[in-house]
Amino acid sequence: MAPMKKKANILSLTEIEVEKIKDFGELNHYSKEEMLIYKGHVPKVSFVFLDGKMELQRNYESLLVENFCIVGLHELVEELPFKYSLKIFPGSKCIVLNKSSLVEIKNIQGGLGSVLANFPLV
Amino acid sequence: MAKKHDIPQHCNDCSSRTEGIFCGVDSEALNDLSCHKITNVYKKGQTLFVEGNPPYGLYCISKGNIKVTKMGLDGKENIVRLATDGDVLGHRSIFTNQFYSATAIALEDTIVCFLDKKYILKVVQNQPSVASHLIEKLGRDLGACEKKVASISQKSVFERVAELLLLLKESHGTETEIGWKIQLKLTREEMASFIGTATETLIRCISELKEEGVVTQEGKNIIITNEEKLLEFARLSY
Repeated sequence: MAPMKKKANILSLTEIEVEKIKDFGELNHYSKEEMLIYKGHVPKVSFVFLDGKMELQRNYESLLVENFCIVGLHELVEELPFKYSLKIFPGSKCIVLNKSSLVEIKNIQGGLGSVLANFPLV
Repeated sequence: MAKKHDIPQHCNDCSSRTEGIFCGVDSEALNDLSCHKITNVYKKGQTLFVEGNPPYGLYCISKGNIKVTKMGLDGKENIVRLATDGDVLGHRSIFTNQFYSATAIALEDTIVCFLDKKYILKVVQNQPSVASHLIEKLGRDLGACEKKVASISQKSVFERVAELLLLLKESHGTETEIGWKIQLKLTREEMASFIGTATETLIRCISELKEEGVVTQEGKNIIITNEEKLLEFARLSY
């Protein structure tokens, strides 16, 4: 895994896992560029990136987030500051998982719950 | 100006605890809120949400100032609202299930608490006081919007400038020896956009008010020295 991706705690999901997550989260389409997470902020929600362009940024470094990656999950659960800024560009879509959704996912048996069990408290 | 160490860990410690829509909740509900909220310090210029994008939840301002803006067709930003300690933002989009109708940007370092959509809908259902305070807030916001629309269509720019200064005095004024000091640092451009006029016109009106002895300036801060006369100039109905 690229160093920046590893430091940002980005988890890659399979298409099947993403389909399951859709039931818990909300599918969002972005028409405007937006800074989803500022460096040093605790993420408000976590994002499962589906399509378009999403970028991690720090100082002069940047990394494009690949499709079906989940970003900000670890930091949201642990209430830790995110080490990068996360920007989304127009025409992108992602699934948003908030704290309440994560509690629901945590309570399901096996399957998706076990996938996300890599992160503490989930 | 808010700093990281000012971040309240619990809602009970918040300086805006007695204001806003959560002022009536019991201690158990407040503990639950404190566990669910995510608090961050937004630096000047950072955005909370962007016009046209989907909403995630509700933002509660603990300490600081936020400008709410809409982009005109000419690409210029127009301030439609100013939010301060105890105000909530983003609530309309949650309840109407629409994209954000405006952009919220920090005017200075501001402590903002976030509550996700699912949770806030649950709280509104289970806590009648939150629902009623929210309705009250929506009512007041609607009243303020109607007043603003009427001002723009019925009042001269000079009167609108006078009205704006009085509005800022109410929300951000501190009494000093010489008058009411408006603590909010807005650029002249931002003030002009708030009342729908050009920056040059606003500057001219403020100069006229200074000549009348109604306002003075201390650095970048405006001080209202003669509130009675300013009220006359604003032609307010109260």
